[in-house]
Amino acid sequence: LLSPSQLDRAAQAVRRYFAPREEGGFTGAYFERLGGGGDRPEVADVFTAEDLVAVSMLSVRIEGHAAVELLIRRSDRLSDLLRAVPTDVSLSDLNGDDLSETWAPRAVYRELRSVGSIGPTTASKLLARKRPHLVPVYDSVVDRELSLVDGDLWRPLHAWLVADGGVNERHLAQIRDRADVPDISLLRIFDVLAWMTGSDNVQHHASISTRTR
Amino acid sequence: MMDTDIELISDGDGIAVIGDPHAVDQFLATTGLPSRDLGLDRLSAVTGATSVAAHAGSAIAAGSGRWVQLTTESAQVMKHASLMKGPTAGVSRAIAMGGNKTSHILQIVGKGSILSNPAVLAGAAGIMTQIAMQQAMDEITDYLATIDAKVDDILRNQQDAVVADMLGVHVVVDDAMTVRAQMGRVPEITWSKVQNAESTLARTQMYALRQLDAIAEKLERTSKLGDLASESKGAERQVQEWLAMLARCYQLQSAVAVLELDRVLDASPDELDQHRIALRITRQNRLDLISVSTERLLTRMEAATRAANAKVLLQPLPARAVVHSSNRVRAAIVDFNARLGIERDREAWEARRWLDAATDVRDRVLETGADGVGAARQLGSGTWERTRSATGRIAGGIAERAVRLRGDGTAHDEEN
Repeated sequence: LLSPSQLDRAAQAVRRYFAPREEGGFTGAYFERLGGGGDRPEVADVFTAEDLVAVSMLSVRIEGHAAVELLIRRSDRLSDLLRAVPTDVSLSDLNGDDLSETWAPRAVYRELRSVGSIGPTTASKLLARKRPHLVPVYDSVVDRELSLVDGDLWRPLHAWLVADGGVNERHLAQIRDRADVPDISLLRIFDVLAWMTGSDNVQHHASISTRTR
Repeated sequence: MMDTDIELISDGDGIAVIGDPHAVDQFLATTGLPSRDLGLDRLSAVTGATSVAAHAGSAIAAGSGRWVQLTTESAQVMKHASLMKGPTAGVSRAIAMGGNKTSHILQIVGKGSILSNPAVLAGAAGIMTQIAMQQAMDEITDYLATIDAKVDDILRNQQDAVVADMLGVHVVVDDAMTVRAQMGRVPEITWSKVQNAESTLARTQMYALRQLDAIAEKLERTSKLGDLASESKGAERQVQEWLAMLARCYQLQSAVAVLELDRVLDASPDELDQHRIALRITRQNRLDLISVSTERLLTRMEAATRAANAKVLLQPLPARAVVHSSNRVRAAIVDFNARLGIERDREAWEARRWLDAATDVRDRVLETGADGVGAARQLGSGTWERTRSATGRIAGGIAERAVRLRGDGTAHDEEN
């Protein structure tokens, strides 16, 4: 689907995903957009109730006790960790070595995972909401579609983005342009394509009842 | 000691339950633990030196003795048996209360215990060591039966002289074990044929370990993913073969130890305890050597998996091949180590999800080029070709639509 010859088809899939609800779009279209984005300056370093609603657009439900942890009990701790993660850096700006275990987003991820009921999917979506250009969305569909090992998406996706001088990232940008969704991050474009493919939504139109991501 | 009392001996490998046959059976029935016969009648040989010891030995031999392998489960059951350190190194003893009292609550006894006699305790410990080794041999027999490779065929196909020597030892040891089973002892003439086997087995073991090390080194030197896939595939078969060789070696070494203890029990029972201790040490040394090599290989395979995953979007087919092979090798090693009792302090390894049946189907779809997607594996190194290869998985998703196991029909994707 990401082949140059499939540019139109890929753009069509992205366009459909981000279409208005009444035209067959998915709730996930609002994940990055809701409230102006989770990385806008005034909220970039704090998890808000808006973020919890945003991840629900991707079929994630935050349990009450987890919401209390994120919004109240661990709010300061999480904010400290988020402050160490820049908002103006893209995943493709990094060197491979930067993604080591000491990479700042991993600390946020670990803290999120230490909250009961927050698993790898929810943690990745919360992080992607706060840093959409740096952290990709991960879930079981993407994992399966890409044949990832131990749920490790960050390294292979980075390697893919920077290969051959960034040709793949540029191609994602082309798809985004063609789909006319300039406000959406390139990582999210990749995620949408992987998810649409993995969930059999590329060729067949989904009914309204299934458009929950 | 009352007739209804039982005595327990632990040597770290197993627990001997000794006493009146009925009491022993009753005790083991309450624990639900599997056991095997100790063969206590052989104790009379070791206890013949003094009249007191002979009396004690005869008393025990008249009773029943069962051996329970020391496992997490059996240790849990026996945890109330606070074993007392005995005069024999590494051996503890205790006695269970009989009568109407529960046999799980054990009471240490002193002079009243038959096992307070050092010669008897040493003899029993020697027999326990034999049983433990026989248990290990049985487990390796099971292991060799479960692996796909026909180990004897593998061994016969080996051209190396060192392997040929081991085949010769195999025949000699088998013969000696047959004589032992028939005669209940190991005659001097039989032992004379076996006693040099140890060096041959040690040489074979080292040879097999070096082969495993060589595989690890080769993988370590390979950086290109395509080459790594090829090497990893080859390692699947080679590692299994050399592990089978090591298993056979270890089995024969255990058999030789059983024969040696029998011979000592027969010829110089006073030295039984020293032999028992020495054999335990050498066995542990062997396991340590094996552990070092298998651990190194495991580490190498894990590194290969990480390297492959990093390129899974760029070169999906070789990356998946590396992970697939790596998983198989790691599973083989973990299984082998577990059979030999080599523990590894790490999280249990989990097979990759895409190794399951559904994904195997998907793999076949990709590899057979269904719907033109298979072109991904034939691509060269051009920029766009790599791009296409990277997205072959996504394209594959379309091709596999017909075979993918679908969820509940919704878009829910959370998997915490």
